[in-house]
Amino acid sequence: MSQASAATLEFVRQRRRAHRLPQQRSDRFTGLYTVGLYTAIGAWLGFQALRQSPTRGGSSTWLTGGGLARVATVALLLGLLAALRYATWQGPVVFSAPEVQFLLGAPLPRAELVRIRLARGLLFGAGVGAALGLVAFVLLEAELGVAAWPLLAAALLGPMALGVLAAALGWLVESSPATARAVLRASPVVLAVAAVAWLGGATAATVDPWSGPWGWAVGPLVAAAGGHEPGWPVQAVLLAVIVLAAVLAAWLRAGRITMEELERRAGTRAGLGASLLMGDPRGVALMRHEVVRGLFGVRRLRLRHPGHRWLAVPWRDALSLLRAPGRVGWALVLCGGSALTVAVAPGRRLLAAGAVVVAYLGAAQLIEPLRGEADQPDASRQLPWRWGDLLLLHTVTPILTLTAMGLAGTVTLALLGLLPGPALGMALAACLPAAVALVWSAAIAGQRGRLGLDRIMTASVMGELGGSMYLVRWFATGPMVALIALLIPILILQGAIGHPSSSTQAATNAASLLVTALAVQGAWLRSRQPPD
Amino acid sequence: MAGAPVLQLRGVRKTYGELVAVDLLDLEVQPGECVALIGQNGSGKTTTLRLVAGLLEPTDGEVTVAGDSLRLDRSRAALSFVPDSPLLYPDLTVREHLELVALAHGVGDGVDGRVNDLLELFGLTARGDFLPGQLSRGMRQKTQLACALVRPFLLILLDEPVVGLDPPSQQALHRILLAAKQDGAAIVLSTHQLPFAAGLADRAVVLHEGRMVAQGAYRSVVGGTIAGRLGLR
Repeated sequence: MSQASAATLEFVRQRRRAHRLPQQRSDRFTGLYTVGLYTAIGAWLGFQALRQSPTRGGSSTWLTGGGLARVATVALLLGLLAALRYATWQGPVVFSAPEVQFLLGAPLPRAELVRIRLARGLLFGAGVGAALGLVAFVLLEAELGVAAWPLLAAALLGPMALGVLAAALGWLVESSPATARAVLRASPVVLAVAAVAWLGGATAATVDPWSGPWGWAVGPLVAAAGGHEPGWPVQAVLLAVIVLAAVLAAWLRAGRITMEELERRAGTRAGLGASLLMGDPRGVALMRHEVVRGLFGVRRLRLRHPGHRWLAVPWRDALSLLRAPGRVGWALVLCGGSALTVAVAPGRRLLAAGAVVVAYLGAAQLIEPLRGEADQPDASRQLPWRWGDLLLLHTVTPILTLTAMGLAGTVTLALLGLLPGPALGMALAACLPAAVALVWSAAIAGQRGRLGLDRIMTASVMGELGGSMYLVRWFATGPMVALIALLIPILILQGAIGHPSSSTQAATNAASLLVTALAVQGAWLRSRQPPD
Repeated sequence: MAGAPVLQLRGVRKTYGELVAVDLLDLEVQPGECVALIGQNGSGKTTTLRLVAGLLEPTDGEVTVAGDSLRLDRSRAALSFVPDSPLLYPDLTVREHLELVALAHGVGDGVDGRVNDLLELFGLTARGDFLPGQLSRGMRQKTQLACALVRPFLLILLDEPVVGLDPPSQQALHRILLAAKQDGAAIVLSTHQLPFAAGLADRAVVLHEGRMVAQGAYRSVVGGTIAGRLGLR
């Protein structure tokens, strides 16, 4: 590092230290000590409890027979994807706004300043990986009771290496808008591939060398856990090589970022901190949307406006979706995956409930304009409709989009011969009501506006349990409404599979319940007033 | 100017706890009339406009627009509102904002021409395909004004409409509002920019600490002793 950089950073460090009160230093130490102590005690108690559990060893065959490989590979892939998506708007190297103005604005080599942050980011990535690895070690050791040291080494080193890789790749994404755009575009595809790997890999007992760094990080763990994984040394070497290459590339690219980009991220970080402090996930989402808009620019598109005034809001929502096609992609992946899960795994209630929640999250992707309306309800004063009617108008385009997706998927499956005749008719008939139920559930949650400071204050005066329940209820409302509307009809229909004589009765019962739920949802939405 | 008033406030009061923002306000505005609300900061001008726009519920009293309660859709269609800070959708371009409002109010076949005219008048033509995030504050204010003017209305409420506007746009707005007045629309505006209001307002209402302390012909009220004592000239 140059003398000027070192002197400047040392000055900043000394001044900050000088202004930090002894009490603050003591509090920080106490906080770290407490977290460390509780983690160690919790891990030990959890380990002992699992080890002495009467069901211990019950999952060992499944784990060593391919379950561990499948679960860990998909989990690490999703973790890496999340880290790369985070790097599209924040990432491992983020300065504060004063640092951008005073440090990066000074005539100091930018690469040197960035490398200090990058090194911290790499260490943080390794730390997160180690923490996750430690949890995996405790669970596996308690369940399997294999030799501890090899398992500990594999559980720590693999995720640590992947954490470092995530940070290094994160910087490459952060420093290149083109790469950031590619990550955002590819994310739904990667998620779909992960889902297919999960569903299709039921018999795979090993992790193959071509499975990518997320698989290579798992190979040694599977071997140490007693699974059949003869290729693990090759995977370990491949992982080490790719991590080193990524770190080297990131290090060399340290200076290749514009001040504008760093300033933008610094501004976002300040807003992010404020939103997190206030427990406002919507605020975080809005900041991320703004960054994504900045990355892709304005899509210059024209959509001929309709002749009838009642179509104005659906037209406006269609424009919004065309401008952010990634939302349609996510909805397709999440809702499509859920529908397939429900279809291929009848009789598993928990899985069906999970599928409904995931489908709800997919539908929620499509109601962004409604959420935007609830963010600033005063803006709707320009439109001639009551709030409740406006909400229902905002659900028209999402419902049509989701229905079209469902119909297209159903017809495709039928053409591939995967849907028999009676099931095809039922699936086609279910597309519209299911779409309405999901979109209206998302609208019921979305129309409340942001979780503002007033609600946080309300929760804070309700006591620990009451306040927590208040916040849980806030976040769980949408999924719960979707579950109430859809889960029982789904279970009724699943129960009739294989019993042709009762299928008509089951379909009638399911349809009656769903129609009742939709009537309640629609009436409730229509009766809403704008949020305060 | 006698006849059925477009806007009528009877004994309107708005309180926040112990704070009285607007106190027992009575006001009538006739078609084709422009009323300027003037007063110091915190005098209740914005609260009054937001009460009329239906964005606030009065604690007491009644607000009617074109004879209808504000709860009716008909009154929403009759009333156009420009808030003091622009409220725009982050995912729609300038042009699409205007198209949405015009379509929603049933402008019909003339949408494109009307939108283009207003973009031209406010100097927004080159930025028609920009999102609000790419615009300066003044440009966003112009977009908000254009949205309020692109649709038919009987009454338009403007809260500090010229803050952030360049002189040509102020003149354009002045011309459009004069034309609207001549067509029979009523205007209620709140402003500290008295030169802008001078050529437009028929009547002035002076608010002080939520109460109406003077009202009458614009020139006599602005030139009167109360306005002078409050330092509003």
